[in-house]
Amino acid sequence: MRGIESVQRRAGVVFLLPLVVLMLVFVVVPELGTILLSFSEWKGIGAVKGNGLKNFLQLTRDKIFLQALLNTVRVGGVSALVSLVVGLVVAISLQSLGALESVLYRTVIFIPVILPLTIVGLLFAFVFNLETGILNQLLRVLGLGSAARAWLSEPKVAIWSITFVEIWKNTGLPMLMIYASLITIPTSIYEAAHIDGASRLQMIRRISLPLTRPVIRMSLIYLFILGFRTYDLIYIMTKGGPGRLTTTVPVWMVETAYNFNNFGYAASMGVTLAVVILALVGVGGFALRGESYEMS
Amino acid sequence: MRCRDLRAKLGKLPPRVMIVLIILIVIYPIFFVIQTSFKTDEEILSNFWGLPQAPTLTNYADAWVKASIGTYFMNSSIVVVTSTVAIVYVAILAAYALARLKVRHANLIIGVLLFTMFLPGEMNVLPMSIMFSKASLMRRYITLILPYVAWQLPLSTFICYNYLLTLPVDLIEAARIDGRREIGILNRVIIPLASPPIACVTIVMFCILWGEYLWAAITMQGGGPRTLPLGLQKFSAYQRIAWGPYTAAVALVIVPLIALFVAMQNKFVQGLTSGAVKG
Repeated sequence: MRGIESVQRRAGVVFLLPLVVLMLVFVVVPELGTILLSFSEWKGIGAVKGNGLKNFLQLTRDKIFLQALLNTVRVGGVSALVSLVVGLVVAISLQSLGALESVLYRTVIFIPVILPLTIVGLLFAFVFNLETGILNQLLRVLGLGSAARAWLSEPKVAIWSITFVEIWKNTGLPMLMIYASLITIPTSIYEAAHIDGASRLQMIRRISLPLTRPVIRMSLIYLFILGFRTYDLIYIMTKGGPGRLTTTVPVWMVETAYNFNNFGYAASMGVTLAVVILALVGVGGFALRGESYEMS
Repeated sequence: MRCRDLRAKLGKLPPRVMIVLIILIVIYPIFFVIQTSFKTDEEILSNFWGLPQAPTLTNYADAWVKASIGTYFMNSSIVVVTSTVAIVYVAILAAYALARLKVRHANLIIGVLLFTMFLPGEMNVLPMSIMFSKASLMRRYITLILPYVAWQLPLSTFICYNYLLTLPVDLIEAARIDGRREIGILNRVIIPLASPPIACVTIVMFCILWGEYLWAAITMQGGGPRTLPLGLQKFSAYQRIAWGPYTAAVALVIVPLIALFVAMQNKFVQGLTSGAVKG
């Protein structure tokens, strides 16, 4: 018995080798490199000089960085929460529709999830265009021409336009995950509740939500991961403008590194962002903690 | 009867109207872009909302040839297809080892993979670009393919791993008793059974890699196999925009992806949710 296990184990190590090598070279080493760089000064040429916490202290006084961090958290956090709520509501209502109808709706709402972010950016640059964009044209047709505006270049509006695009793109994911979990709940539980005279809201609050909590939690975590990857979308749609109002940490970080050759300082932004994301994921996971119910 | 009753009770809470509204918001921009791509510049102005009166393919020809989307499309295809094949195989190899081969510290490895998923991908880019330019590896196919494969492995391996955990152990045991070696079991038994996670990983990777902008922009400056997002940048929001070719270029990317998704969607959903449902 032990012999078989060790044969398996050896095969397993061989099978893991490509993954481990690729991850070490292209993920672990660069991540460590970034951490190292974040405590140093390096202008792209010459020696890397350690400078302790100087970069991080400078970050606390960097207005553009602070604005970018706020934007990142705003876009990522708001879009994740809205997507989660909308996805949850849709999933619950899909449950009561016929099979065919539900498949159709599910498929359509999921489509944006599989579209590349750059393409979604181009799509919405078209939707939000000042002169010929669908949105402004529609508002004019509806006689709301005064509400038409430059969605991507007006201060205060632009960041919400981008948040909307994130919501548009991501909502299908929690919807599908939660739906898949809801349909595993045996109908008999609902029937029993029905006989006991439970209202539909009670059924949702006492049965659907507790039984899907682990999946709701998992979708929120996925949504955080998706919502903080803003570089491609923002670069295509606004390049961080107007001014710096839609700049997020990745955008400012890339600019700092490649336009100003300030690699050490840029690295400290990456590290800070990573810490913030991990903290938010931790908080989100904690808020939705709780026992999970085993169903069979 | 009771079942219907129950449905009526559960249903209509947020009425169908809401779902239909969401569907419209999701589908209309996509539909509109596709519709516009078949109109001439004049018709875009004169007949903004309607279906194209005289559908034309000139926008596609312009996008494909004049804006060289054809070349970018080919470059991207080579990069995306090669990377995806590599990702799927490396991920399933690793997932099989982690899920079924009693490798030591399997949980720790899964944990590290999950952890890296939370780190912003942009963090990798700085040291990587330095590494690649020091090694004179800029502006090649391999410049894109190797990092793409590595960066997407955590998610792909995780999806495959979750699915393989649901496969009955008996199947593997039976193949072992038949005297198959582990690699044979993987190729002949596991891979044919693992079509849901394979479909899922394929679609997710196509979607992510077709759109990857940052790494391609940094490493393909001034030549090399420039990929689709770099080509599409030409149409970007800041210049005066020729909407015809612009929408044609967008349609060229999204239509095949949507077709791929609709064709594989049953498997895709199974692959995506097999792990998620268990949380």
